[in-house]
Amino acid sequence: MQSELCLHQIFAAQAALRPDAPALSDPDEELTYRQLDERADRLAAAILSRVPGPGARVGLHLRRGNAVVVAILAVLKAGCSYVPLDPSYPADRVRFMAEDASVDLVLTDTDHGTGSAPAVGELLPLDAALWAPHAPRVGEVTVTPDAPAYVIYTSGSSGTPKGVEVSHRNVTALLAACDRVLELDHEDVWTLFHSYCFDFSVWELWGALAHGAKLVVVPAEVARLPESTLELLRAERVTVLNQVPSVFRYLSRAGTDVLDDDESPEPLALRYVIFGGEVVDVDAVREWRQFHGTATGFVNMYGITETTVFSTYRHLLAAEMDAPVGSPVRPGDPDPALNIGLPLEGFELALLAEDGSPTPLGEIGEIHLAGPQLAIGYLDRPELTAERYPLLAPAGGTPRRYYRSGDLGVARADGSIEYAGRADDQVKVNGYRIEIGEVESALRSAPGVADLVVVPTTSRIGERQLVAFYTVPDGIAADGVAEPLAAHARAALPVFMVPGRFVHVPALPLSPSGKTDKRALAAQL
Amino acid sequence: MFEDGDDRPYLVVRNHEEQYSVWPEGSALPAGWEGVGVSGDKAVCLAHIKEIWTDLRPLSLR
Repeated sequence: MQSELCLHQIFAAQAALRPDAPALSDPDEELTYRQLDERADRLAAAILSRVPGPGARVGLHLRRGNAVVVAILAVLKAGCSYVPLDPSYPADRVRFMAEDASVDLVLTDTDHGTGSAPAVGELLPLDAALWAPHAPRVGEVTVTPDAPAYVIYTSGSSGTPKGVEVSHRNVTALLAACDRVLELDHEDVWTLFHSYCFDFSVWELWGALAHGAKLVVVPAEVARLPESTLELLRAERVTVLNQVPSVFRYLSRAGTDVLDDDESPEPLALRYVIFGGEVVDVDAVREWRQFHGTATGFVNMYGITETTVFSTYRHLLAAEMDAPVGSPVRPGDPDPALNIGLPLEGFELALLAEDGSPTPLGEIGEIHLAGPQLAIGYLDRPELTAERYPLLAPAGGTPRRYYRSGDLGVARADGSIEYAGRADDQVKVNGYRIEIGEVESALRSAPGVADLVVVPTTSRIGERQLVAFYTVPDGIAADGVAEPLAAHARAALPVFMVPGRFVHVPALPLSPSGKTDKRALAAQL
Repeated sequence: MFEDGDDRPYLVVRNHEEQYSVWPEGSALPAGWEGVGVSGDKAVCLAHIKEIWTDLRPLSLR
């Protein structure tokens, strides 16, 4: 069923149904649905008095906490869309995003003031006075479900990030589709584990609030430490946890060293761990279940920001998860690490060859997706939007708009899809999408660098890392370049895009086709 | 694999929401879409779309 409601109206319906139920908490405060609703109403009025009107874009430059969720709700209630501007990103990148999205207003923390916030549009520090009881509440603002709800920036291969504009209807379609494959209700407790700059957070936030469940904001320092995360899962009785597999790998090993103690810890209340962003580490799931038991279900969801968080789903099978660590995949069975299952309801998934024709079973094709979760497009980038969202009729039927994912897949006879890597230079580190071209273009301009390429590598313990190989101009000593180059990278790029190593080479090797031979470079490490 | 060295001829097409796309020249136009009178290789068509598609929101939202 397609919802004709906007996201904030779905929230309002839950607030009317269970006003006193817990909605949101962080280490400082817990808010009920009514309290959250009232705060967001008052902040929405403050926003509307500072922007030209509904339809404006509002930047969020906020640290993690309840205020992020209040701000998102308030922006939507005001008929505006939000643009995440993570304060931990380099100031230049934040300014680029704020300017590119031409935000009219930026919501900041009070102690940030005008310091690191971008000087684009008006700044509004989120002071509690904005939602004090005497502050006016917003009236009903007319918003259609096709209006944009947010713009999230992703890495762009040409050197600059690009904003993906997503509508209310895109997200309500996601929620409706996930309701068909997951059992979720108002008694659940979810975590907001991910940054609001990463669209995994859209699912965490609305998955909780659309069901009347409670959302627990995980502080950044807790999310970074697996032991602390485990403690929070136990203390808050979290039932739904979303994880990037490379982060879950550490969580699965956390706490296992207390095995020697006599007192066994209280069991977790977790019902689901939902994976997104990367190939599943099945051994980490096996280790988790050996230690914590088999009460938690694990779901692998594949998706892309451009098609609103998730596009396919697969419940991992008990036989896969309870096999001994290191068990190989039996011939003919789906590979639980790579199998991304079936399309969510509403999606049409096509695997296409380069000429646009469907690829036969068992052969590699590029994943193309059509359906109500296709985002509005790339903000102010019509040519990129037309290119990445082509009009296609792969099976000879009525042509429709598809998103061309750049991901490769193989269809199995059971209808499921197995992920088969990327068609281009995009890599993922801890679930973050990184276009190698963007990193290279940011670093080639560093002083003292003649040429530079970035190569994704995998360490012996399975961690993805970017390595930059660079040459220096004739007559320049290479020794002095590495440190300023690393500093340049940290100033220009978000932490997850900064290469872990900088390696000087006398010359960049060429492959027979005349391109830089990245394989030969990786082999030098 | 899948590099964009596509030099087949395309048309620039537009639908009722004034969204733009490209469509292989010579194939029957899809229902609901019309040509805007521009054709060429993909790069030419995309460059034209960049010029004329100034508001990406569906028409009903403008």
